[in-house]
Amino acid sequence: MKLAFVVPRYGHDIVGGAETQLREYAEHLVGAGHAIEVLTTCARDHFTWRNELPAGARTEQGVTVRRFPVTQAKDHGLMADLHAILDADLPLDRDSQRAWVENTGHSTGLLEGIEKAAAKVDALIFAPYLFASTVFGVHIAPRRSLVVPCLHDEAYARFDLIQDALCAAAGLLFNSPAEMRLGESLLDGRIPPHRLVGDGFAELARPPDPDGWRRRRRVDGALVAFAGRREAAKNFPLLAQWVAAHTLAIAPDRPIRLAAMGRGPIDVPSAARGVVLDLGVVAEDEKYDAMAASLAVAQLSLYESFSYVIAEGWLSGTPAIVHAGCPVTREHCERGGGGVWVESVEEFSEAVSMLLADPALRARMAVAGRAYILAEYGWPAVIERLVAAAADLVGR
Amino acid sequence: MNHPPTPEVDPVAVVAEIKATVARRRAAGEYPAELLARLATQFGPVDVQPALEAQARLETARALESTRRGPASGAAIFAKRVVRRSIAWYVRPIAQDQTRFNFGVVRRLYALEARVAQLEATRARSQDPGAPPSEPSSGA
Repeated sequence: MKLAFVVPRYGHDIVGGAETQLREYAEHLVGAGHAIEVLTTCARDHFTWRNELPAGARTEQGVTVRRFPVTQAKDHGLMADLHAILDADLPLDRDSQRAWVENTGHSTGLLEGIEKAAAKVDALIFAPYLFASTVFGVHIAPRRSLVVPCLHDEAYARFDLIQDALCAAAGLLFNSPAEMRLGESLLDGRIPPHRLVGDGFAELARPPDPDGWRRRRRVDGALVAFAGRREAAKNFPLLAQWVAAHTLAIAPDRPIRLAAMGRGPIDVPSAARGVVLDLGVVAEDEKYDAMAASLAVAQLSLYESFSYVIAEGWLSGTPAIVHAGCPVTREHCERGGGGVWVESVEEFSEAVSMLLADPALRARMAVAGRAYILAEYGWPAVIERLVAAAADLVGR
Repeated sequence: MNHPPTPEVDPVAVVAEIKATVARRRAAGEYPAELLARLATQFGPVDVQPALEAQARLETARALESTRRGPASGAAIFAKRVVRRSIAWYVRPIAQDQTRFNFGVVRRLYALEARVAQLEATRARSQDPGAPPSEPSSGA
């Protein structure tokens, strides 16, 4: 098939679940002999939307990538005003919704690029659901457009403007049963044809080396790992708080530290600084080593459409601790048996203590999680589902 | 996708065990509630909705930070402090007006909440004549 992927940011150093997912889709499809191109912006950072990468076409890992400059600079003051309204659980009118979307990396060049590509490809695949590239891009060739929404139960998912874009698409490709149920509920009665495809995983290229990592990094003691964007939207401050509460208040005789990998400041009170090990952005292999050296990979985000990081934990041989309030991560753990879900600091602490005290349970959970992720979301099965869904939904 | 592998562990049972342990230890008062509350305060309200009053007051002075490293960080913070002081005469009265407005809205919201509660209690009494009369509202 000839497919064009449209994503607001693209590249191996871009942190973001949807961005990583589409990049891996593109690379695996190229490996399977399909003709793939990617249309994206020159931005690397979804907070600033500054044009940091050169415009134009280049080949990255066999994929033709066309970058277009962001043409609307982000109005930080306006976005702060709009977020104050959203934070108060008040709705935005349609003009404000449009203003919000226009401040998410809007590129007129990208929209022109989509129009040109639409005539040449079997399908355009957009992700994630909330950015200008998707919301405006879908309307250019809707009958040939599929969206991988990576949907979260959040205010933006209720914007009329965004729901109209999702409903205009020829089809939606969901990552997990829980995300699909959310989409069906939000777009009740108007949802276009949709399929479950999911993110893809494979065995790690090399077995993790937790002992070597500990020696190299001079790290000892029990760890809980976090990887990803260290921001409130991912509930990272809550995770830091719960780790600190376990170590400093509930179980000082069984201390743990948080091995925090990824971008973003670590803003914790001075009393808790010792419990957070700031590893920053690390190479993929080091991430797996750190996960393997940890008791658990903790993911307390409530807004996940798949959660790449807990799957990576399972492939590294480490179980997961997730928030009970996130249907997606909780469902992964319930179906696969690779982790536990908690909803309070006390439950988090007891889960940590249980995994510390019972290495056999820890190992069984990690094995179960790994078997689940490879059986349900191994790359061959995912690519087969993706190609079948694209052919079916765009009628080619 | 319809036939997930059978988990070798029963995660529901593991979670139930965690919940049982928490319930037992809570009942025994084994969790240091005061210390946990202090930590939660230090971290700020990350998992709870702050009270309306706490959000109503606008602070014009925020912590000054810089993403730069080294000596540039200190210079940036100093420059920001100078700017903040130089425009304080203009910003402060606007913030005070907005704070007054916010508290006015909060006060009316609480009054409305009390009236709704009173109406609901009246309706409940009318549907169940045997119910005791509700406490009179103390207002907002």
